[in-house]
Amino acid sequence: MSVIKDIYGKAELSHEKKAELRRTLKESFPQYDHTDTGRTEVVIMENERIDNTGGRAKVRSKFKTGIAAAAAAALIVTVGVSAVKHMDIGTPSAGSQTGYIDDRNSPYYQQAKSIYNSMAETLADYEVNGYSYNHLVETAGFEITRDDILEARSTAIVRREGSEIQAIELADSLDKIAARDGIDLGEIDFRIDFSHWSYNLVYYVFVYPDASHESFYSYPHYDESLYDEPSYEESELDRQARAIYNSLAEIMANCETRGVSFEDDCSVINRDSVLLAKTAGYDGEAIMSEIINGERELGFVSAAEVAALLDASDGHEFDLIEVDFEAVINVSSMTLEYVLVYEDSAHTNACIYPKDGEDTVDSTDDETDNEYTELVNEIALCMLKVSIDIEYDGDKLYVDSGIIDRDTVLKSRKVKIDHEEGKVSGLEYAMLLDYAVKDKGLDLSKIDFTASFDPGKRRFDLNSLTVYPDESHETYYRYHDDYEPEDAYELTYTEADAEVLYEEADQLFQSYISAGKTVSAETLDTLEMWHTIFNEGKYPANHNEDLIRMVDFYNHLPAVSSIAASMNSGRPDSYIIEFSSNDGETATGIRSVTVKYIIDGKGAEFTYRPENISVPNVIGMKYTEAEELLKKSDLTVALETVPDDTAEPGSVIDQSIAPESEVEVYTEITLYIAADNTAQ
Amino acid sequence: MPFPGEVVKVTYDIDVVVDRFSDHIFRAAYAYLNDAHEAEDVVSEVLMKYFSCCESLDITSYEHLKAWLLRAAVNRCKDIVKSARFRRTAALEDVHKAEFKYSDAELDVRRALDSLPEKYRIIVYLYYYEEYKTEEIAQIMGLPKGTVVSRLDRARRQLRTALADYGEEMSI
Repeated sequence: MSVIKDIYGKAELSHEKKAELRRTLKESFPQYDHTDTGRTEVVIMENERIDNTGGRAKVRSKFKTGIAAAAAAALIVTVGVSAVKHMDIGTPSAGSQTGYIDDRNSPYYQQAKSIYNSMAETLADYEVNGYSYNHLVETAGFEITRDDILEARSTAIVRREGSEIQAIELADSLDKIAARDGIDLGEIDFRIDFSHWSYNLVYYVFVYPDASHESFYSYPHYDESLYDEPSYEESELDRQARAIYNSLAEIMANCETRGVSFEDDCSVINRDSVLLAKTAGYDGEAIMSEIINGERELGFVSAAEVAALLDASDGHEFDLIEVDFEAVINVSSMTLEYVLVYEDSAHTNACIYPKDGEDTVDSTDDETDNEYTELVNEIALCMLKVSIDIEYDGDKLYVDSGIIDRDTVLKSRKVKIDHEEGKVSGLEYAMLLDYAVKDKGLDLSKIDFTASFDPGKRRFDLNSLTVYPDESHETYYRYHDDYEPEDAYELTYTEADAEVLYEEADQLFQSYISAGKTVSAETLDTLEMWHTIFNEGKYPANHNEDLIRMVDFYNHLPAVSSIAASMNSGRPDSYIIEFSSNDGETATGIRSVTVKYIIDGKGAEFTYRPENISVPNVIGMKYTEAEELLKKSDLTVALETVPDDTAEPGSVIDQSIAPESEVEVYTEITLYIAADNTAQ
Repeated sequence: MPFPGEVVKVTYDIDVVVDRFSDHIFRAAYAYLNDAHEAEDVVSEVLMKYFSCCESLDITSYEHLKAWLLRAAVNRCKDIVKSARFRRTAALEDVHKAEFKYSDAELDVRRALDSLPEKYRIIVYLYYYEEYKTEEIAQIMGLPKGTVVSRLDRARRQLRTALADYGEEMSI
């Protein structure tokens, strides 16, 4: 795929753009202007990519509490939090937002909507005048409130062209536009929150119905996911509920992938189950190893056993006996519904995990984070890559490629594999795949897998890739491809057709030449020609002797009928034979053959063009020997005599194309022969 | 690439970050948006974001920083595509050719890439150019890994169809 790599590699920022970028950044962040200012940080570079760190960056604790810091600091923190948050790396966002009232008919909601629209108009005004949102967001402090409006009304605001826009100025502009629409912002207790705007282009207008700000209305509809509950505010009970939930989810996933089901009494797992397990002396680790090793004969676990598993799992640091919890499971669908941790013995209050609206673990999803699912995907991708590489090198998989599995891979490591030009055997494929997988840090010889070959597609079929978790092969993971096949009518053997046709055309051409005929170098499309001849009953208007021979030529090609008979997907619509020529009129050979099809309204064409050939060195040879050798090499020979006293008469003293040059077949090569007094 | 354990400086120096990463961000954004001017804006926005919060991020290596920047770029691109002001204009081929010196064949490939939906294009870019593993692409894009694999395969099929004229010389 180096083509794609080259293309993207060529797209780059110009030097001017980079210089401009540097200038802008340095103006905004002078503290990062030069190297070795003492602001550089010495860290241990871990030579690992994001998969090993989970792609998670941590926000240091000082920033977690820094939200209420000075305005400038708050700006940076908020930008940081906003950016980090959007990266989905689990950072807290400012402020609790409980008390949202979702009443679209309320006048407060209407007010929020009107303010939103006025703000949109204000921003559009600025944009029209050439101010970008950077001018606004960076300085507007991420929010505008009634206080800003009131302050703006008592302040004289003068706009200097191009300067950054202060919150108070934005408030002033907003106030004027709102006033025009008959809204007095000084009378409304509102807050416009821009903290998510820089990324989402969404800002929120909150309107508070009372001075306590305990409840609020929002326009647009308040999206709670933007204000995830910060994890550090999670209570002890919340944390316990989450830990139990996660451990249990893991246990369920483990059981499910190994074909172990929960008995009906597992619909509720609680402290009593744990007590029962302890009393009965269940050993969670022993049960888990039974499950993992496939030794659970009946394939079921009871509630007490699940509790034992839960107790033995290392997802929690607390003693389960101490926690009054209840996990609710849908046994028939093997779904973990939720986990409750009760605050008091009367069970009046409880913490629940997951909270409403949070994603629940969907164990029916095919793309769960199961290690085998990932493994299958990883191998599938390596197969894809190997197939691409093979095709890119112009090679083909051949039917003998058969099935590859762990044994093939082991064999490929032991035997010497010779590459045959244009063909890739199963063993060679296994070797290539082995290397590709090794690059991903996996060892194919330790993975029990099989993949079979689809001769129709001439590639390893990803959908036949199967990985077995255990020796019994009773369960397996298969690559799951979720797309509709777009090329179900894929042609078979078409590329080979072009090659066969080429060889037969070449033979025919040689027979014409040896019979003393000449062939026009004009490249014609058979379809066009036959159409004219048979439908209109005449040769094309510009026909000449050579053209008639051309028609003759096509009609004598035995491959035309043999290919049509062997095709299982339809007769080719036309052949295009391209001749090589020295003078543009007389053909010296056949350069390429193209076979065209139209099937189900879609066109496809395949061209066969022989590889270039290397010019042999004939200097010093007798002319006749040289000519024979060149003709054998599919080159066309021309002759020129030059006076030369030193060389033997009749021998080749030079050739027009240097030895070892790569040329197309039937290229004309001129031999310079030492003049001989006796030669004509 | 330094060896594990080697002490290096992860700098917040503007020159270093611009030199090392601006082209990567630009290419990712360009692959996504197919609009050089928008992509330039994304570069400056992403770097602005980075420098405004760089010290609060625990970025431990250049590789990590690159992933952070690419992810920020992808997120920004998603927003741009969603926003009303982003008009999907046909790519100006002359711009490509003049600015990036594409050959005719490369232009054809470029056109084929352009014809892919942006969600495929960015994955093709991350996989083939940045050489990320699908797992990492899934992280950067915020997608399940299976989706990345199937999108990659689908993109490849589309490219093959679009480049059928080239037959074997440009097998994708």
